[in-house]
Amino acid sequence: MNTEITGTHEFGPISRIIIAVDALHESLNVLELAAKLAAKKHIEMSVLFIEDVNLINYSGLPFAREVDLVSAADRQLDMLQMMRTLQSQAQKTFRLLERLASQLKIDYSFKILRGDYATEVQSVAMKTDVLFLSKRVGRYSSMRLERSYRFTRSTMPSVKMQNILCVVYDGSPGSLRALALAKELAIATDRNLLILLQSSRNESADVFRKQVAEITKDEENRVRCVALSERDSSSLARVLKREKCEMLIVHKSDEGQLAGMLLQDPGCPLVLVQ
Amino acid sequence: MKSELKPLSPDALYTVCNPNELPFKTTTDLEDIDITLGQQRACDAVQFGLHIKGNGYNLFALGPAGTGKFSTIQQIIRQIAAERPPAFDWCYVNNFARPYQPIALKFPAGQGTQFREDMEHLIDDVSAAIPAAFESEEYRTRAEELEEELHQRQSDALTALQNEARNHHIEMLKTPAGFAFAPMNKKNEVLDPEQFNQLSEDERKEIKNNVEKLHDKLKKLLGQFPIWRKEMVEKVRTFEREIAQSAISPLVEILKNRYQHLPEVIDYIAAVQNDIIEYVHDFQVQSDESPLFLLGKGSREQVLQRYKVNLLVGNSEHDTAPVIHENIPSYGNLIGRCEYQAQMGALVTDFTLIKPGALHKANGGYLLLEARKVLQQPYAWESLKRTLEAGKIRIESLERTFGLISTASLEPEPIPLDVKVILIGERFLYYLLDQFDPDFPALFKVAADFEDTMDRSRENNLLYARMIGSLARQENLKPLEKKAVVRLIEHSSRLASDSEKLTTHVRSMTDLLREADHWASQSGHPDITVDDVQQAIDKQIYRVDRVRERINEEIRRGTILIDTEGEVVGQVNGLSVIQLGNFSFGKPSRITATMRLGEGEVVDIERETELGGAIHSKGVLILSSFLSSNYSRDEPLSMTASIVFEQSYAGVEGDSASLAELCALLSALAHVPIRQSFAITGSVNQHGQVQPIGGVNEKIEGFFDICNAFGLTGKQGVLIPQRNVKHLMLRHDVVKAVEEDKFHIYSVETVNQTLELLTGMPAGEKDDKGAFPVDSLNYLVEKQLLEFAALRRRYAHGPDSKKLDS
Repeated sequence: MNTEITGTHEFGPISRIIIAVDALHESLNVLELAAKLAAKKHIEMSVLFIEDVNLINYSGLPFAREVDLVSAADRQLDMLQMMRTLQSQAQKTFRLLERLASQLKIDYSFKILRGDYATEVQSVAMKTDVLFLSKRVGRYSSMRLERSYRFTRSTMPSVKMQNILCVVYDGSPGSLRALALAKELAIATDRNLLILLQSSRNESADVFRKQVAEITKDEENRVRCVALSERDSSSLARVLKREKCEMLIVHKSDEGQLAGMLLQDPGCPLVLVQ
Repeated sequence: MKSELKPLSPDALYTVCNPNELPFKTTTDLEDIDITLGQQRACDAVQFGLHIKGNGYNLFALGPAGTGKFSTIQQIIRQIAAERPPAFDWCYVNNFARPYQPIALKFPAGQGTQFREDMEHLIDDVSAAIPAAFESEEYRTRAEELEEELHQRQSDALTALQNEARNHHIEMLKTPAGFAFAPMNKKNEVLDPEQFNQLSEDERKEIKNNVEKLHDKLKKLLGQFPIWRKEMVEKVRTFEREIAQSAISPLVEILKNRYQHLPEVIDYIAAVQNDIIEYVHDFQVQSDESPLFLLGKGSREQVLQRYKVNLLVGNSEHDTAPVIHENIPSYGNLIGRCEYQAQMGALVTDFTLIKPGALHKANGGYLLLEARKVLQQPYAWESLKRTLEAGKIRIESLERTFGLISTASLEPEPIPLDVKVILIGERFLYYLLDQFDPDFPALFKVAADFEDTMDRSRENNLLYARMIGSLARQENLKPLEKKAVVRLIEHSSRLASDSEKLTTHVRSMTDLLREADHWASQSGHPDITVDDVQQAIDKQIYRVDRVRERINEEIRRGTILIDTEGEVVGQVNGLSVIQLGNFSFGKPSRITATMRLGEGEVVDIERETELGGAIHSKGVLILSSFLSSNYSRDEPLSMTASIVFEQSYAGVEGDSASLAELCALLSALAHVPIRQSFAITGSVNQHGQVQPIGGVNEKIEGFFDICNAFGLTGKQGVLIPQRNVKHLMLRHDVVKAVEEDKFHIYSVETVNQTLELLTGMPAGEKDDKGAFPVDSLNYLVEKQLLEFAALRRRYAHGPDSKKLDS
């Protein structure tokens, strides 16, 4: 296997970054990270707020109800109320965007789309170099609930939240771009970088490790590598969870792979790199 | 007629110390001696009291201040304490079950200090071991597994429900607040209202029923989630306990082995272990930005405070039993106290703020207290008694008892008490407590009564000289020449007011030595000479005798009427002593008596004006009795007499003037004048015997000074009771005047002897028939009384009686 990595190891010029958010998920963190990257690269930041049409349709049904996740209480839903909720979320996101743009002096645009989140994201993803997605995508939740118990170790100094960005590196040109972007993002946002080496063979992992070391040699204090033993997504999710990953940066090679990613829940916001 | 009574010889007025009996040149030649000289009885009592075991065998050392009680007792206690082992160490530690009742732990001397350090090291080690254990991969993996288990359980349940829904073409949607079940169309899209309405009635009904059933199941499922969460939390806690247990057990076991001989300590260590395991989260590092931190809570030190050891009493540096003298025996200083700290405007306390009292420090040893100070401190005496009675030191907050503060306080576990308390105080305090405090005799069973004086003998003089030498050396003073010691011994007798005694008032002697040393230095003497001692004595008197000088001056100027020449009927010079602080001096007082027909009453004007004390009144009443029993017994006493201390505007107490008053009375009755060149002192009983009085030296010197000021005539003198002769230690100028026959001192035993000296005529003794000689003073007295009686009898028979008799 060729271990030589050529090029500047810099993510190339991009015109804008897109952030796709919806009403169901917290978008503050992903917006902040994206804004810092946009400010560093002096590019425009476009936010797509996607109103889930399925929720609107459902709330128009005569028996529309929801069960509260915390209290298990049963509540009636109606379409007007649902639309007000979505508008309110959109306004909140817009105000946040305004504030960030003002602070970081960046250009921005904000657009509200109504449709299916996955479908809209897929269509946008193919047209942009970098796409930020808020945590948990898909029509329905992956049925995972938030952590309910504060473990002792969570407050120990050595296991405190480390502000870690994770990037998957498999030696492909796409993953190389993802790594370059992740490095820039880590520097821009003063984060540590965890590089997940995805390889089926040990020797490949060693090669990847050397390549990564070469690419990140000037930032070795903030970089750490972990070899993924399995190629399946559950293995990736476990590592992300254990390392308390703040954001996952991956490259997308084709539409099929993208669809698969959107159906999975990495448990953290996602950055898709073309 | 002249009295045959001879004046006292100069030798009787001042008993000198024979220098030849003191075989040394200066005190440097003398060996040291205990300053407990003359206190054998008290020392025996102290030894007994300190050695005897049993409840209530505490000591009260009684005696005048300055007799060396404190130093004597301290000397004895230190000797006894040196033979006893050091006391136990005592610590207060947290009571994890009831934090308001801290636990007292007892350790052999020195081990309390060690335990405190061991506990600090343990907590340091635990603070490091626990985070390390919880950072281990084993813990992290297991904790994640437990968390994952819960999430998987929840996820599986939701997925199962979701699958069930899908069987009915229903999708489980995430909504902003929770979940919902939405019917789907064939394109796998949520049915919109229009599509739904296009369905048949049955289809709509079926969908609705299915959605409702799914909703109900979801509700039930979500209701289970808190229970599952609780189960998971319990599993995690159990696991964390296991981790903590394994992390700290080796550390705790080391400590348990070290203190295995102390079961209470082992129990406490076990309690600490359990508490650490129960509150293992407290060993995390808290952020300083926490609101709790701002409140003074939650900081690491604050959290670990409860594992600290409050070393209340540590005896690691002592190898003998403790001897404690508490100079300020307040309630808190005796019993101990719980202090408070202000936190955010509130007063808080805990077991680390318990402070020891003198009883804690002296536990296992000896506690010296001054009785007067204890009694002056509020609640100190009561608390001392209560503690001694209980045999336990129980710290109670006075503030809380009296409702002065309403904050939470502590009830520390009482500490068993094993202490000898030695109270030091004046005699009157001892007797007052003994009489009025029923607890006192049971708690202070041993009285060590310190003597005021010791016998003056050849042997004791030498011992006294050694004591003077020891005091001088203790105080780093110059040595004393033999003559200086002789003078000090003689002065000691004067201080004892007895030529056959020496004072044991060590403080007075020490003060005099210091001052003599000062004057010796001023004079450039290498040793203290007799002149230095005399100068010290004279200067001591000079500094305090302003009042005496003013009084003598007023007598000399005729403002205060005192005659030292001539003869006057019904008037005599009495002598009194004025005490001003530690200085006393004699002052002559004119006593007069008047007489008239009456009902046998002797009016004491001092008593009538409430200026006379009870003893003085008693003396005057004895005069009435003397008159009625000594003269014309068959006749009623038919006169009224008045007696008064002239120009006396303060109270008069004591019966030392009763002889003078009787003489004035008899002079008035007999119309025989009294020589004013004499002054007299002494009390008298009903049989006419003269009894001794106090302050004889001062009284003689007081009259001598007046006579000297007016001019000594050779006829002046003082009449004293014969039984006071042994008390004479007069000033050198008085003795010299007597030697030169310029002044005379007579000792008298009876009223008759006194009258003969005062009037120059025989007093007269009764013959066999009970009659006085015709030319005697007593005859004249009786004659006057009989005349009064006859006169009274005549008046008793009415206005015609006088006519009939005539």
